[in-house]
Amino acid sequence: MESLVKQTSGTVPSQNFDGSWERAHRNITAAACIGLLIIGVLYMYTQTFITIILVFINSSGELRAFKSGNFIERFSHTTELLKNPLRYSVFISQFLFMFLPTLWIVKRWHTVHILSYVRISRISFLELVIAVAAAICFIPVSGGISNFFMKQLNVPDFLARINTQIFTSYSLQELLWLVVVVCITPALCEELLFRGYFQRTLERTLGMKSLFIAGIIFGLYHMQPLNLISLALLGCMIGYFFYRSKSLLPGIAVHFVNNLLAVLSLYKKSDGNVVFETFDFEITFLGGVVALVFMGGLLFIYQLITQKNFE
Amino acid sequence: MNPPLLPLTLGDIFEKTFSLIGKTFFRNLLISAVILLFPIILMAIATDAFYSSLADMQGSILHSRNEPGLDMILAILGPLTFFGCTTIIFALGVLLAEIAISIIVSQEILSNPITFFDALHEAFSMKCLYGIGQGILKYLILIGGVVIVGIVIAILAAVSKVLMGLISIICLLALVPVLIYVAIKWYFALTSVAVDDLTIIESLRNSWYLVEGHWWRTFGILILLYILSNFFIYIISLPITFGSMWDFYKEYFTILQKTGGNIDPQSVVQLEKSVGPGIAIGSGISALLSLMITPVFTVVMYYDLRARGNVGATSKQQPMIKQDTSSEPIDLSNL
Repeated sequence: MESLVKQTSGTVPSQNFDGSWERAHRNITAAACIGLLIIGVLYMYTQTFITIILVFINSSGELRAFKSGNFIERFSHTTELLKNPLRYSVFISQFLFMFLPTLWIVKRWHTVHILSYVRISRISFLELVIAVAAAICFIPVSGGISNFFMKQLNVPDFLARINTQIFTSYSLQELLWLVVVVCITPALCEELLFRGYFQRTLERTLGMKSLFIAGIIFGLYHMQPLNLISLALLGCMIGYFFYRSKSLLPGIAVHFVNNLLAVLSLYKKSDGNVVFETFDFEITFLGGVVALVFMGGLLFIYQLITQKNFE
Repeated sequence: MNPPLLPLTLGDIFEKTFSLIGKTFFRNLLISAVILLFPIILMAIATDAFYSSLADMQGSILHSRNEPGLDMILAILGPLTFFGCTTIIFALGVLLAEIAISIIVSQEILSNPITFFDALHEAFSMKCLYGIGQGILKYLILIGGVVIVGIVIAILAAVSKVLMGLISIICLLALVPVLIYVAIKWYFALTSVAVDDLTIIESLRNSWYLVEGHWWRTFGILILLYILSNFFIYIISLPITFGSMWDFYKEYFTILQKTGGNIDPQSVVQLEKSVGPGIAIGSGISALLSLMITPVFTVVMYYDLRARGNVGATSKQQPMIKQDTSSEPIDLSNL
């Protein structure tokens, strides 16, 4: 039997793969893909179901009552009503139907040593800082890519604004709740699934290619065609940190910071003006190139400081 | 003659399907592309023509504020017929591709891999006619059941409306499970034609007996596999469909930008004209992706059911396939 120690370059204690999938000597790539699909279906369907129930409980009367106004007004009102149920359903379903099933699949199919398998292991503070700094450099680039497609498609500003309503907060209390729902929850749950399970399992057969596959699938899973490229690139970058560091922590930190900056940029005063104007990352083409160069430099440094994991 | 096979667990079915998709992917893609390229182009033209004439009709109605006249209905009848014909051609193409892919997958399971050209050659034989025949017969019987129930309801409606309502509900409640039951029992008819070269009636009988005693298991696994594969197809085809409808969305957002949400119904009607090709391309891509997965798990399940029938089949349940029990059983886990 393969041992975890062989798989993780000596970063975890020697453990055997004793899950049902491993015992049957089945295809490991198949396990990664099927596991991801099962959890994806489970999460998507239950999230929709929970949202419908919450909308029905909270605001079905309001939804029915609001029939006047043009398309924009109705869309804006519906989004406003869906905002809270969606936040609750994301929070509940990510933990119950993404986080827990991932742990269950690892335990059932692969090994009882779940934390070792998904690579919950310590890394140096420097590795963490460089990963986060690279992610910050990437944010204006990803924003630029998304904006490019939005402009090409002539998406009206008011429509884009309505779409960001779910991430917008108007009080400190709401901001903190959003940090929990939009920053902490996906950073833990999505990273555990996409990197801790999917990429980790693919890596056993495909090596470095796994980070690109996991990154692209990460982009596709969000079902946002306009953000597909930027999300896939972000996924690849997080995958790179996971692959090089042999730890899930940089990915969690990067995902958290990426979402946190988005949430902070949409923290508004009661008059509608943003509180932290510094987090508005709309930049020029030249600025984007400079950010990319910085990011490349940081990734190179990351490559050097994580070389020890490959010796 | 085929040697007997070993039954599979759910995990085995998942894994074998995945492995076989990987092993046969390019051949299957080539087959699907060769067979479906022309129908997809044809369907895109037909969908475009249909939506354009539909938009013209809606535009005239909006303009004159009258009910659609006979001339309007006749004007849309041509594109509608063309659309219907291309849809049938497309469905036949999908069926042919399914036969060819099933042959490839089956030969792969039997450790006798064949080229896509051989599979195509085999598919364009009597198998093609039997496949179409079983499909037509199957759906005629299923639809026939619905029609008979409809006639009964119509007769009752003439007698009493209360009675009609009551009977309609009872009939619907009874009909849906029956249709599902029969559809599952005949699910492997096309695979029987492709893999075992059976005729129309033989394939339906074979599928019926194969599922005998394993109906709930087959139903559950099929539902699960369909949900998983459709989810995969959806996430892959979403950006492709979005891209193919780029011009439509761009125009829509431009109108939205200009009007601030107060869209003129005439503009929406004009927009409809550009939606056709995008829908056809999206449907085509989804069908192509579906063909990469569905026939594969169907063949895997077919062999699994054959193995199960082999273990405990009574003479009544014995499938049509005659198996050579003197040979070593094929263990699909070796794939």
